[in-house]
Amino acid sequence: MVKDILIEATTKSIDTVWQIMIIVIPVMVMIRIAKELNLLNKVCSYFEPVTEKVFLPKEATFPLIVGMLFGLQYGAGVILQAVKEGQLQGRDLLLLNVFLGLCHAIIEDTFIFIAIGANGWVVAFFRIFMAIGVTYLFGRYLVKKYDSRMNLKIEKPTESRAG
Amino acid sequence: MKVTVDMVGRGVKDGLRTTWELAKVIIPVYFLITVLKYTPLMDLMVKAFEPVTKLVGLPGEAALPIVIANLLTIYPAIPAIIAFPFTPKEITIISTMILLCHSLLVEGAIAKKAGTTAWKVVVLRICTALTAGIILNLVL
Repeated sequence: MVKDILIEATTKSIDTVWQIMIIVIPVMVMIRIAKELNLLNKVCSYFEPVTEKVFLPKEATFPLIVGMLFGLQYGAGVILQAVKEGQLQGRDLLLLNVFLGLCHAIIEDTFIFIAIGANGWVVAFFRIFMAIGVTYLFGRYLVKKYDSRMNLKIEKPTESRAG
Repeated sequence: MKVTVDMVGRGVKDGLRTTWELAKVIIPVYFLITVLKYTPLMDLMVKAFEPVTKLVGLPGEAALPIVIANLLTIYPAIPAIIAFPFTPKEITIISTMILLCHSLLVEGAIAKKAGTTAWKVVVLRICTALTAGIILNLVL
């Protein structure tokens, strides 16, 4: 009994790691190439209309795409850079974090879960779909709240954005 | 603008590093869960969580990977998925929910560092994951 458990655990866990390895290595090679050739800079402009649809400025497109594809750690660096350059403010940051919280490192994550038997298309696209939907709704809510506040206190300086 | 051998080499290294990070977690956690499966604790947990997991069309066992992913990271959730005989539909639902909402402690801290209030993001993520689970259970 105990011996069976040990054998099952050993073979199944090693087998899983192997399955993940043969998928993850080619994926990481592609990600590395995309990073080092700055391929994302070139595709960003195509996504600007989507960024503006979810109430974010078009300057948020690069951090958004980088974080979504490569991950939160990497994306946070790019966000901080954009903040330093003064392109993103309170509300933008909150929305960007809502989107990226839901949807980051989708390439790596999706392939890891494909390796253990999930449907990758459903996992990846549904995640993007939910992230866009929630960011849109939350963005609309913030914009409405912010606008009504502005109407109420018209004499207050408007730079203090929500977030 | 050319793909060099060095670049591919660094990519392979990235892949091996990720695999190693996964292996370090998956193998020991798989053993722990296999042992847990044969204890009465597992039955108690399944019964306790069944009413909640039923909402998203999952058996009680699915609570284990989901809880692990939220308290820790997605890596130890992987052995908690493969240790049970989930169907492909169930794995897809669990994976989507976990990916939408995981490592709340660590990623909440990162969100804070990136300059925003963490709790709003956390609450939204939990709600989104539940909604996603309910929708996927209906459409898949």
